[in-house]
Amino acid sequence: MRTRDTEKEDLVRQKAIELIVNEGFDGFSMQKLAKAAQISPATLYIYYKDRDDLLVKLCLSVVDDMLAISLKDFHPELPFAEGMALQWRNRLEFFMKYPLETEFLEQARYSPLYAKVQVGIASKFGSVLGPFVHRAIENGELQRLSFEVYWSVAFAPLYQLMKFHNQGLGPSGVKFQLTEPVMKQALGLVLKALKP
Amino acid sequence: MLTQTSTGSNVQVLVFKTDLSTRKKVRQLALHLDQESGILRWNVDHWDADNVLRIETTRLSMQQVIDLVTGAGYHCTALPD
Repeated sequence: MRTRDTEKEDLVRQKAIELIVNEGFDGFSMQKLAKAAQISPATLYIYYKDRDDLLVKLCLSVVDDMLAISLKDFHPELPFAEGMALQWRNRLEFFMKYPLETEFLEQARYSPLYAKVQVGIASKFGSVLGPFVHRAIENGELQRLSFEVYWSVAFAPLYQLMKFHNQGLGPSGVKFQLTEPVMKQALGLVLKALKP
Repeated sequence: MLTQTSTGSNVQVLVFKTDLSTRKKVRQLALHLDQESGILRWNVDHWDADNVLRIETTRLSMQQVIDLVTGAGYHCTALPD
């Protein structure tokens, strides 16, 4: 009898993320993953029902890690500016520690697979960030906005700066590094924009 | 292949290479597999070149599954371990 082997599962997870970041979701198959992780495809099917099952579980597991880091020390009672600063810092920490996982989630967000995990992810984030945002609106710290507009203004600038940092170049081709002062400057503008 | 899964101590996962390349073929095979009480769950991975058939069973052997699938008119061999 063979039992589940967590070391092997971690290796499978790591190789799957690498394959997807390098080759995209479309090129991903169980056969390729088995080869990369140097295990038999038969073994992979013990852990996962099929390709979609693997991708959904992988996505949820990376989101759980991201959630744990992004919500570290966070609680919905924090003043809006403070809570946002913590969110930015935590998301940046996840990105710096796990660049491959960040890139994986970016790719996942625009793949057909995402529909299957989106509800779960939204409810996980929503249960903590929902009360935070509603409280800020009631306290007059944040404009009443559609969620999409709020998210785009609140977080997309950070993700764009992370992308430039990853490439090492800004849009004009000049060397770029996402430093603390740069992050603070961008966050300051975001907070200003979101004020009522 | 005998394996222990998280679903139960005596549940085995058996995997096979097949020619179940279309949903129609899978639906036809379903008429046979769904009747077999020894099969707890089964599915075919359509994304895979080997059209992998995965079966969770408490008592069927590899050979019994192969006989069942080939009896239904499809190609079925053990996926190399």
